Amino acid sequence: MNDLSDRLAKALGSRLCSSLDYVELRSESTVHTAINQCDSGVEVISRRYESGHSARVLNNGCWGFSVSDGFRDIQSTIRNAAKAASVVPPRDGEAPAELCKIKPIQRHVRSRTREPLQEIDMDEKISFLKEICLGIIHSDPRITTSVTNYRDTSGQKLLVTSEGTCVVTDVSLAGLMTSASGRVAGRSVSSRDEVGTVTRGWDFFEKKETAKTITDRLVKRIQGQMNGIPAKRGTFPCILSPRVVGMLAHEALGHLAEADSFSTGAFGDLEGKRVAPENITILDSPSINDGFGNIKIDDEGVIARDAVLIRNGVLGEQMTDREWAARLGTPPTGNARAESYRVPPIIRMRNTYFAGGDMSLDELLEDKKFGYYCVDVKGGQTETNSSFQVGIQECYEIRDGEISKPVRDLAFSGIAVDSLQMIDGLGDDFEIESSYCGKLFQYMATSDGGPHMSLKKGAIVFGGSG
Amino acid sequence: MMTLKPLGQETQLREVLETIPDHARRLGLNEFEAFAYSKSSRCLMIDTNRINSATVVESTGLSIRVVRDARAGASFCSSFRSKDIEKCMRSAKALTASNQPDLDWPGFPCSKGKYPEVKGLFDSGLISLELNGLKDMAETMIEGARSVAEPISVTLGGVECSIQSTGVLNSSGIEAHRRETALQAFCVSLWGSGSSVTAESAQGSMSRSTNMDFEKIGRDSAEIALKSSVIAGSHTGECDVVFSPAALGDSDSGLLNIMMQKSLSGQSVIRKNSFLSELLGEQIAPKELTIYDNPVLSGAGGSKQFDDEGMPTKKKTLIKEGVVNGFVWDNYYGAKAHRSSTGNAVRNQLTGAVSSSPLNLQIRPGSGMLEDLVAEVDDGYLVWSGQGVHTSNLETGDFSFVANPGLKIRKGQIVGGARGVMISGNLLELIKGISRIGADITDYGNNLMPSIRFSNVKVTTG
Repeated sequence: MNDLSDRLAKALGSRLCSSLDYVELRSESTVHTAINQCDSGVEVISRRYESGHSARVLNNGCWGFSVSDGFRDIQSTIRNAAKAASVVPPRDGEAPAELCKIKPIQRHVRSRTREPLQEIDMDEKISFLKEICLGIIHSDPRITTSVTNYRDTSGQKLLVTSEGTCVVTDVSLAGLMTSASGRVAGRSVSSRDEVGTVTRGWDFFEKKETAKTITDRLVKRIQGQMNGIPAKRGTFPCILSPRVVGMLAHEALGHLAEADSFSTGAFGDLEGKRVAPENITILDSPSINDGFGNIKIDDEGVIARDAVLIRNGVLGEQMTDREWAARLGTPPTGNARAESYRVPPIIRMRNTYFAGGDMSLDELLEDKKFGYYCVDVKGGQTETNSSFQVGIQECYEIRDGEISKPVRDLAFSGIAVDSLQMIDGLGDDFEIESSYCGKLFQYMATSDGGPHMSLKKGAIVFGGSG
Repeated sequence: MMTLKPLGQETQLREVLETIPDHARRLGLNEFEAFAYSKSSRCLMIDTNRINSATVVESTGLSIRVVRDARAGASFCSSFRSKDIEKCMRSAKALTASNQPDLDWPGFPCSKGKYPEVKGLFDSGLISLELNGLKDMAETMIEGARSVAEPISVTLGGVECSIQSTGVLNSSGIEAHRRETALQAFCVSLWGSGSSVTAESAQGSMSRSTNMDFEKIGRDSAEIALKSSVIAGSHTGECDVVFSPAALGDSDSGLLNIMMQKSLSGQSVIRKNSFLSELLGEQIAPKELTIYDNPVLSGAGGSKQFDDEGMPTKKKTLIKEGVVNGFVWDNYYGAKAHRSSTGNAVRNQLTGAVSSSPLNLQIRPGSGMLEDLVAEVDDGYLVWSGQGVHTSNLETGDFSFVANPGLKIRKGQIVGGARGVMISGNLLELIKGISRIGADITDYGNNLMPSIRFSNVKVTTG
């Protein structure tokens, strides 16, 4: 990467670049491994070599972006970005886009993994996946298929800007999606599991998410689907596990606290106002233990810091990139992230979570005659009007303060500005889970979490089939 | 100034593919396949009522599959340099050693048929489209939306044109090349701000030529936002629900598209995770529902002369007058099912995995436009877009999502927005209740979808 950073820095010294307000060059040289295992057989085993660069230009308050695979003609890429910026019309009646001031940094963000993921023996990876697939298949005769999709990425990415920033970041990401399908009484059932790491390399699978851990969790989940009863439709009191609470933090609040969505969204006129009970605090942090969204420096060269989105029930900071930090006049939070060199950085969450409370799970359960205990999610989505939807793949009825029968696939929805007010208990525990978040066609590794949470009847609507 | 520069692209792609057999020979490989593409695109993005940024992309990729003693390995590189291609093929070869022999491996496909002539996939008008031309299109779309009402805001949108060359070559004698253009636009509008803001309503379209009504895309998006601004009452129960083409066909959130892409795939049938796999020959919907996979349809977004293994494409009837008539197959899963490829191989660019999938789902149009379907509803809802459709269970067909925007219909009229309305059920139950299929077909790039009205749909409100 040293040669490349020299080439990029040299390109920034051109006459063209000196005539532009700001130029940002990003490049990547990464190797990606993919293995798809289905039952006892490997379906796909592949390597992907990615190399290329992009230029983002801000000139006269207008943005242009250009991408080229390979490293052949960096000047041409900058020229294309400059031409693109020249087509964007100036903003009528608004201040032109500008960036908040930062101190340029020169840094190599090194990976702390013991061994690069691409150097882990392929046979070891396949053996691990096979153990999971066969473990799942052999655990219950009603399970018909088990699939694991493993992905890892190793290499480096580079950021060089006309302000003098030069950041080399080691990339070490591994993710595993496992699914199981089965049939019971003529009815199809399925469940899935997703884990990932950007900090621990292969150790993550050897010590934390072992084959047995993943197998046991997924088998429990699909058996819940097999033995489950249909959920009722309507609104009920409920308890959400940390994984579901994380999804709520991400979908119901996090997206609306991204500065590029905030002003047009449902929180737009609630800045500084109480939106939740006093014991509610929500953060987006770039650094937590095992966070899948951990970063040290964002893709604009900003040193990342915590953003406190709700502090003691009051709507607080917005997550920003440099442009939005300048607009709001606030210190940047370091939330500008790009999926790859092929796309420009945009405001993205990192690790978003509710801070913990002080109640045990038993205390949260004890006053509920009937309700639902939602344990695991299969995705969610939010909208500008704060409507959120969350798919649930592991759930139980609550009857007379006790966790009762498993419930089949369902989803719940709500309006965040209303639901947040109806939180009536927070657990004294805390967990964080990895996930991928999609925004503007970019997929990004994130984590969400929090403690167990109790919600009153009326907070969310269950769309069950019963 | 900025024009798309396709000249020489196809030649370069042919040159790249022609080197593959030599690379293979040097590495002692007898079974190999190469899939290459070269794409140029220009895009303008809209943010809060104005064009916010412009993007120029030049992208290339080469995907290799090799097989040794029935052991497969795959690799991809984004560079066409000879040494990178060699590295890519060496990597694929090395990976075969870690794989186990696949006793079902049928070999790479060989094509005995001619490639179909598919018209309207390339428009020279798009090649000469400059960024300034895209700017005019984007501004027309914004004006279309803003002309509907003052508090309408275009929160997001984009216009993109692209030209792509694609080639496939394998050791069984397949060599195929194509060139295509595309123009895509989308507009997301909302009404109001802060706590009174409506849901975002999106409208989009895809074309192979410059023929697109940008003003209408903006206006359609804004009109739904405007109609959502008055909140109407809603209630839990079962009722008639009209789904817009976007709610059924959008590539990310279209319920019918997402469910059918998976359940009509031969791969899903083999894996026993399609809810249609045991229903071949069964009546699952009224006679009005016929679904084709039609990748030879002139000018359609999902049309192409050959699939990602280089096999010729053709029109197939997958659901015929409500009866499950067949599935689509690539070479491998087709062989597993003792069937021939139907020309439906789809390659995952990230992993190199080849699977089977419909290329261009087409619902046989019925009659009337969305308004006509709405006019026949006494008390029900219009789903303009589904929030959270991606969390549906594609293996069982179960779904539960929020109609957002969802609109209340009374006595054939949209009377306002319906907040927090959940639609749930199973796709097989839903399509049994089809009561009318519209003729207002929209192209979503991999499917062509009309609006459809369903009866007895489960609706839950807070």
